[in-house]
Amino acid sequence: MTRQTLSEPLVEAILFATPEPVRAHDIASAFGASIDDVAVVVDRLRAGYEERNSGLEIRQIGDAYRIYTKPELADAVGHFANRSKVGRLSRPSLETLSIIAYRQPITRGEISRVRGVNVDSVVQTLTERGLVAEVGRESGPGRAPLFGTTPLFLEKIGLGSLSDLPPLASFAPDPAAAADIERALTAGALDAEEETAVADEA
Amino acid sequence: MSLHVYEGPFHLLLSLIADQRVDVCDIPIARLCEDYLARIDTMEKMDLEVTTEFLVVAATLLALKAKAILPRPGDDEVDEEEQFERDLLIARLLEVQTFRSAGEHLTALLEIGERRFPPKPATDDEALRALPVLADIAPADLARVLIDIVRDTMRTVDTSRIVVDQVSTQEAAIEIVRVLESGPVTFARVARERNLAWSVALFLAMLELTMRGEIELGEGTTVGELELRLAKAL
Repeated sequence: MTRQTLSEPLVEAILFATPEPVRAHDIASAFGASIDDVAVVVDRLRAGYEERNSGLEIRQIGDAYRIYTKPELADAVGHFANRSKVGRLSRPSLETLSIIAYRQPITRGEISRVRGVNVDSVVQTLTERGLVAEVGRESGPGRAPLFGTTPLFLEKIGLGSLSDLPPLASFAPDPAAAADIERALTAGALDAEEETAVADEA
Repeated sequence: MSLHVYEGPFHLLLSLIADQRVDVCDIPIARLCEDYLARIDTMEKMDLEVTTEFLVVAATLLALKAKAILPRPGDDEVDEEEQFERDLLIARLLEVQTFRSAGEHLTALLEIGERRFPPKPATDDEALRALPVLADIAPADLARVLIDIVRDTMRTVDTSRIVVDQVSTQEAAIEIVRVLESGPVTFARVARERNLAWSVALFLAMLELTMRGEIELGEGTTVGELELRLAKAL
């Protein structure tokens, strides 16, 4: 390959023609540049897209880049591109996915302790979808498989890395909902006198 | 709306609490148990971990409920262990609720993600045309042919002395082309009465010739047979 210098048209063309995320490292090493150089070029491309109100956007997935059409154009573009829709995930699947995303690496047993139900089939569904994968084995007895999210998961949720997920604490029930739960499980909570008695004890 | 998916005691508890049944006396432990037992019936094997987890939750609720219903002696003291169990249960319910909300957030992200289209790999006919025609022969069919041949020759291998039989793929390729010049022929016929080394060389040569586009493979007259013929001149 004749050596070209890293430039916006070059990176744009590579991203356009490659049907998978392209690692920044691969671009950098092919053109004798650094990963930071690639990041700068990508930023300039993005700025250019923004400036001319392009229908495309470049997103970072882990250590790679990929070009996409903008989500707000999906209805019209989907009609032409003839993309098949992926089935929605069930709520148990999504709950399990969020537990894996935030607590990885994690065993099936640990997930089912959080959810209070067996999660084998849900974990299998997520694995088949390629959103989670076995990432290792527990060191303890039984060497239970540990699960974690995959690069495909990051790509699907459109985040550069796991650290871009909002902190788990931001999903904690609001104080009113938390108080509801607490009250529901407090003996005789409806009796005001006893309620104060319990509060005093605590 | 019930999807008849058992989501565990936490799910039911949370939905009861969300339905404004805010007193432990109102939590129908019987229903919790029925729900659970129905689930156990449909399970193929007992999951001890989950089963015992459920018992802990149900027992905690039962203790709380009993305490709420029974009249208390004047200076009631809160059982420390009971308090601990209650707090633990609350903490777990909060945890489940937290992950549920996080899951909803992921749903939103996934839905937006679905609306971004990356470059589609070209299902480009040109690229496909550039590939040699293997007709509709699946790799498994090729493997079967090889296995048959190896097995047939293996039966007659004499291991009392080992002679290194040097056959090159090139020689085998020349042989195949020579045979095919008089018309299409099955691979079994080409390899007939050849020893193992020759059979393997012929097989490899067949693949090589196919890849180079010099011959074509097709299904023979009987199922499972490979027919070889010279590629038509372009």
